[in-house]
Amino acid sequence: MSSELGRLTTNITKVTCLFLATVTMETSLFPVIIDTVRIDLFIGLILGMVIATSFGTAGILVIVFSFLLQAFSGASLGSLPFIYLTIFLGLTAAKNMVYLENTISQMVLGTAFYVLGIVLFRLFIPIHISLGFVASILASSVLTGLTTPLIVYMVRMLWREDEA
Amino acid sequence: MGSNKSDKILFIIISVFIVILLISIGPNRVLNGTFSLTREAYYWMERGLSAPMNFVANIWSDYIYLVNTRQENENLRHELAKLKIQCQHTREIQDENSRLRAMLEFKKTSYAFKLYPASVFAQDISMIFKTLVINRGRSDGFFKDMPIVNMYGVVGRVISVSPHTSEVLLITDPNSAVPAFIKTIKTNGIVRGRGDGLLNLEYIRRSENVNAGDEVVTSGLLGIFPRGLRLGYVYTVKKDRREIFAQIILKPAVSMQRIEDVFGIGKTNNKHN
Repeated sequence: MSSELGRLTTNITKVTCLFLATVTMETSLFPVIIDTVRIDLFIGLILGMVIATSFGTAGILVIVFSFLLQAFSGASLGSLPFIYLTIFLGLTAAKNMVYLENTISQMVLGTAFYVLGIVLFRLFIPIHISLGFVASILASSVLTGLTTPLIVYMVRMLWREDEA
Repeated sequence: MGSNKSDKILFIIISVFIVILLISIGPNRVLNGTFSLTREAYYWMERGLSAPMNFVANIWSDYIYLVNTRQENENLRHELAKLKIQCQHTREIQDENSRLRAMLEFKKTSYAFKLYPASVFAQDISMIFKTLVINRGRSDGFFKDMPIVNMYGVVGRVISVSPHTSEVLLITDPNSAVPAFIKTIKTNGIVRGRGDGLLNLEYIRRSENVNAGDEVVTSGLLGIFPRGLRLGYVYTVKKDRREIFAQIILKPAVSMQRIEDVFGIGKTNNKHN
């Protein structure tokens, strides 16, 4: 029982470190390299947790992490947990319909859920959608899709290491 | 299996409850404190991680490659930016002064900005919202609603501060509204962010003669931004017969994607003699 708890704590710590690394990349590194796009690595993290961990553990981590993300966003309070929780539930539902271990599925889901996230953001704030903005969103969603399998792989690697 | 399903439903209900609670209570001291703490932790983590890299990089750039030039250049760049900001404001003051002189109500006025330099160390994680996190906070003299500028014009204002970091709401964010003034026609309006990098200038009557390229500055109303700081230039003007106000789009004076160094404007020292 205690060893199980210890393993869970270790796994959560590892995923938290990965989360902090993704925050650093999203807030400090990517904007310097490409300023017109935003790659959402957190979607990959959620998908990785959906595959590798139990529903309850992943759900709680999604809520806590998305709440902490509010510190790095001008989004109104509660909107980020709402959006990422919706994405988490969507991905959990997709688990029964799509083979999530497939890299192509992960790319498609990463892209689709990025766009869904933007649509949900639109519920909270009336933004002006220009052609340039749509192009940025499309580029960001494709790049998010491409990076999603990488983050999923890292989550699975970190979470499974102790179980092996 | 049945218990597993009911656990999931219970989790969803609790999660929805948490989200609704967060949305309904809005910003408050406890939550702002949590976010400040998160940013502080991130600031120290980032500093801790970058310190060894900076140390190695600095040995080369500061001691081997160029002994003093880098620091001197940095100082000069800061000084130039400070002067440019002061200059924008002084120009506005001169205009105002000549108007007052013309009205034979001369007053000797002395304005001085206190500028606090800062660097950007994190940007908003979402594409929709436009905020920055800078590496200066309460302990460096930064405060809530402090105007943030760079040498080209207004960047935004501080919306929350922690001891060593501040979150800045850019003027291009859809939540931002700044009282503005069109210099050429001397008319007041409100500059609002659109979320796509451009700005809307609102409440300018259709009958006003606004042209592309007109400079728009802060009006100084509401007291957050001092008067005369450059916001942007008129990009397009649309006039619809059915509308009272013209639809004016501005291009921000500051290129928001490439902001590195900024200045916070401290309390203005106004001496009216």
